[in-house]
Amino acid sequence: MTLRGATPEHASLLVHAYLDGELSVSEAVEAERAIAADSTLAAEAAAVRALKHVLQTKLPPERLPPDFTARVANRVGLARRPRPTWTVLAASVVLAAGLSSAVTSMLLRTTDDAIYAESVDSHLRALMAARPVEVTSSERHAVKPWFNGKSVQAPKVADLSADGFPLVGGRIDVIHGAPVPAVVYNRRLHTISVWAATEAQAERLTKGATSVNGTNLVVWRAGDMTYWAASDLNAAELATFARAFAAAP
Amino acid sequence: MGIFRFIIQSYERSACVDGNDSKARFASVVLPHLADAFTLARWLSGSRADAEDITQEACLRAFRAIETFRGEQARAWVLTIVRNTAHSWLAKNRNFKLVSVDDLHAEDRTEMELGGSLGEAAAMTPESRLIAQVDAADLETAIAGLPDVFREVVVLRDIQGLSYQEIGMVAGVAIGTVMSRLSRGRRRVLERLGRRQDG
Repeated sequence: MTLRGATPEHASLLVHAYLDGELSVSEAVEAERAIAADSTLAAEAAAVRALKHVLQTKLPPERLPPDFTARVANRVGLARRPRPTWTVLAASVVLAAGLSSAVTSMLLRTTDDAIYAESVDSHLRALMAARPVEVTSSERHAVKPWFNGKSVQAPKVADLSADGFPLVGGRIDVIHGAPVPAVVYNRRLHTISVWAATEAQAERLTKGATSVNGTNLVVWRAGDMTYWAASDLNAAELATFARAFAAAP
Repeated sequence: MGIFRFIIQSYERSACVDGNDSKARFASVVLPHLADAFTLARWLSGSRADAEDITQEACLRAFRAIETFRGEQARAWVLTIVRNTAHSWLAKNRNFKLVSVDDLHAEDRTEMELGGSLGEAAAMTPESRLIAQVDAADLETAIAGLPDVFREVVVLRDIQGLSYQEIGMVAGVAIGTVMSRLSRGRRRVLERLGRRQDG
């Protein structure tokens, strides 16, 4: 017998998931039956089980280099304070959960990194909302006119669906005190926000590519406009996106 | 939920609090996972020296981002930052390019998406008792030789013990993708170990 309705490939994935303890009880019972009844699945299960065992036992987690924790603590300015005990730290976490620090972002905001930080904030905030856009359309002729009268810049809205970046829609973000049009694209499960910079912002967007807290950013020029984009997509594909956007009519 | 988080975030941003809070948060959220962070950096970069640089940079990023940490899944949160730092660090220092699914050969891509042929996998699977005898060096070589997209899921699951859901968070992919990459990556390791023992 095989797993109910499963292709062999799917059954194999479920065997891995079974051995990883990721299946529900009823799924696990089915997986056990399938393994018992199918010699191919049984061979794969035995091999994977053995592999998991040797990886666990023969490749232990790395030991930290000597003083590494102290060096890291020093780097973020922890070491100069008297060491609090773990209970004190735990108690302060409970406090911090309610009153987390805004100091770092305020510091960032005084430098040229402010635009990057604020745009990533806008991007993340949009992702948390039910929809990352205010106007939803995969049709660029519907998205472009929507920006009319909402910002000074008229952003390019390119059709990049052939390059694997379908258009999702648009919204207006306020970045560094100015309304900025944001055009939103998808890449697989990733969302990309693209902004058209004001002239003042364009002068400050000097980095070609950077990242803020793990969100990648890329800046490019197309025509006489400067654009920048943020996404959790990897940097290489985000650069591909920028090239496709710049090359599009 | 989204609106709730937004309100909390806005509240946090407007709250005027001492910078010592973020230090305390960093110490309790990030430092306990330093060994995990270093282990992942070591596997992604292949070198302990590079792993030190990557982990230190990731810790700085985590410190700056500590206010965005929402209080759950601290280890996965830290490892997400380590992974992204490793990718940008390797891109800068080694001209490293993350292999995306689109860059794989058509054959590999089909296998990644469909899971590959079972018959073939079984034929290449070495006996499980032979696997139990491989030494750490052979295992290390086999894992180090995996393409990045497979190596990270195998390391996160089989060496670091993350759940599928946590791996999806760290690698930024859906659970179905985690599953197919994991099974494909493990098969590749088994094939490599099998070849080594045959030869």
